[in-house]
Amino acid sequence: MIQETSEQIRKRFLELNAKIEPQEIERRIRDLVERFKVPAAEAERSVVSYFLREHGLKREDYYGTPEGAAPIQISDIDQAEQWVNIRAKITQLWDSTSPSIDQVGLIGDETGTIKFVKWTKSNLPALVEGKSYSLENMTTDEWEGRFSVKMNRTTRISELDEEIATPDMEAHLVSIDDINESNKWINLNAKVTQLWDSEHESIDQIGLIGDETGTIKFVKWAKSELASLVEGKSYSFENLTTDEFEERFSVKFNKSSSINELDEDIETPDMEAQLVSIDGINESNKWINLNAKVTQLWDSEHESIDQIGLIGDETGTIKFVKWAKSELASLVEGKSYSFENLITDEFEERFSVKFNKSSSINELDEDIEVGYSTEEFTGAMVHIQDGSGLIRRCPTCNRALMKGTCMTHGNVDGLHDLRIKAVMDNGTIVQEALFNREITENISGIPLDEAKEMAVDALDHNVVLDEMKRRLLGRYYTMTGSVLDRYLLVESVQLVEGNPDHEIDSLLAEVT
Amino acid sequence: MASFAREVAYRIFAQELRDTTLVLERDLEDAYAPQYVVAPTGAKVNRVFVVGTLTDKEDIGTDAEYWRARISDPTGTFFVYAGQYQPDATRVIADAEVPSFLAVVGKVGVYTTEDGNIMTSIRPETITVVDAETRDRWVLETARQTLDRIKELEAESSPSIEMVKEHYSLDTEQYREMAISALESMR
Repeated sequence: MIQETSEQIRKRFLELNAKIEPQEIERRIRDLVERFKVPAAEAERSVVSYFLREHGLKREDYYGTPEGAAPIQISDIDQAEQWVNIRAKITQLWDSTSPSIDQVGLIGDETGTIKFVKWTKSNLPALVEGKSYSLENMTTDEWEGRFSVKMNRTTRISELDEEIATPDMEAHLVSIDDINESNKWINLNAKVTQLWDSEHESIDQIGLIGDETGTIKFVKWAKSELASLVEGKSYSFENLTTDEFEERFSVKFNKSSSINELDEDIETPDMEAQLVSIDGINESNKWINLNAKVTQLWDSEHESIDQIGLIGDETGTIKFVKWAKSELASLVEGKSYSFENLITDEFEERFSVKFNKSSSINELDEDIEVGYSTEEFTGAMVHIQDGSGLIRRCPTCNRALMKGTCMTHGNVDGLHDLRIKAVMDNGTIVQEALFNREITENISGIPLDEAKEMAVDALDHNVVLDEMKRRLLGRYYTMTGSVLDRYLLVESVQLVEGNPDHEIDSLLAEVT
Repeated sequence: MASFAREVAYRIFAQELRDTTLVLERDLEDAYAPQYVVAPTGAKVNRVFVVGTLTDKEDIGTDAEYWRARISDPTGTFFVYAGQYQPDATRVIADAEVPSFLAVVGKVGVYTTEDGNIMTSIRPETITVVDAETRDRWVLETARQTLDRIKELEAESSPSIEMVKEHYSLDTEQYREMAISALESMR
């Protein structure tokens, strides 16, 4: 079987004037199938790919040349790296973001629209918005599940006399919870509920708008040259486009968008704060009150954040963020407080609470208890969190420094330490685990002294973390320790070693 | 506290992920709700952990690097895409040898074509080069968890039972065979 496949590959390459030793092909396929346990077809593909690269040949050369493909419809595009001909209308031209891109935008036919990219080096004539063309010899591409077509030097463009009809692009008035597709044109009546700090000069304004059904992020580009939005005011918005990033929707303003202030005040979801317990927090953008203890203060990574960390009550712990501009009193680790008017938020499926200008903080006399227990856990290390690796601590309060500065004691001469904040996962449960210096040294094989040398040599602390990630992530460990809040404070840890033949046999015996 | 937790990284074989065509509608009340797919053995998946063999890689990016990697287990091939927004993963793929064992943690990406085909891929959060023992353990663990899910389906105790029945017509036998042949390939 492997011999036959090898012979076929050898012959096909010979037709392309590439001479390959049959033993070499066979050895590679055998290694993939036997040692790497790769299915036979995948092994063949892998080996062909290797030799194509070795001999500077293209995939199309080997698998057959594409010739004068008949025009297809946009909705038929479901694979990357295909050669296609399309008859379509230029429905939008966008600003090119790169000198290597001559034109970029959307083309459409009766069945849909698709992004196109025309390379500068293709030397093709300029396409005009609204005109219809026959576009021959483009290649398809895919990015994060979305397809596009690319125009290259071999692409042929000719303008059509007829106009290609495209799907309706007229914006419709929707409510925010109706938004579930990207690249749709919509109109909205909504109130600006939050304005955030723009982090980029190309963004004029960014924040949240809301209507009766929910809130959504908006982005207003500087170049769209629209009037400024005011927090708390309600507007009628026309011709926004929807967008999606990492499974979250947003709306974007563009040059054709319009903004008209409304007299009426649009109601947004209930803002009355309720006293809740931490495990009752399961929605974002809710106003709440909490009685909780500050269990951890973390290192703020941004000057706009005054304090960040964990607060806990009897039912659990939750991350909090206190903005510098909210101008509230400093929280002290270990103290219990009554918090009012916090807003819940969610990021990457975790909830947090945020302080704002209308929040209040009152210290409590009582001490709020936060849970504690011992556990063993076996699983794969799937993530190492920021603040791991080589860190420095304040000599007075032992807290980790941020850019050489203690949040409480200012500029201090920090003491070096090692730690890992790992995320373990056994396919059923996720467990965060905290490794102190001793455990970190054992498991990573990097003693503190060596870590310091690595950082000095590279002039960068992060090399230690990168090396730890390289050595630890993706491997299986068994660990024991006590549970504090969401962390397992690891007391012992071992790499799960050895060949699991015995376990494989017993599982097979069980099911066959 | 369920919704507070980070999404579990499911253990799923390439063949089952390729066959996965049931994409859940996101909770529209919550703009940040994660995307889930329901696999033929009932796992409701957002994140996966896979260990397999890098069989091919290609930088398909134009301006910035954008890598497509094929990572195979004994049942088939995972497609992993990494670009400028996954700089660490991109570096590992760019530097990795073909073949070598890679461990990937990532989110399942889904695309629906106009004619209704659902295609899955993995958007990596971390990738590391590992050894054959880690791969062996992953195959064992993935077979065990796949067989557990099948057991739950057959006992009608899986929370996804109705969705699986309706969408995949509950063909558990082919996935039992897949798990068994994956285990047998390790001997």
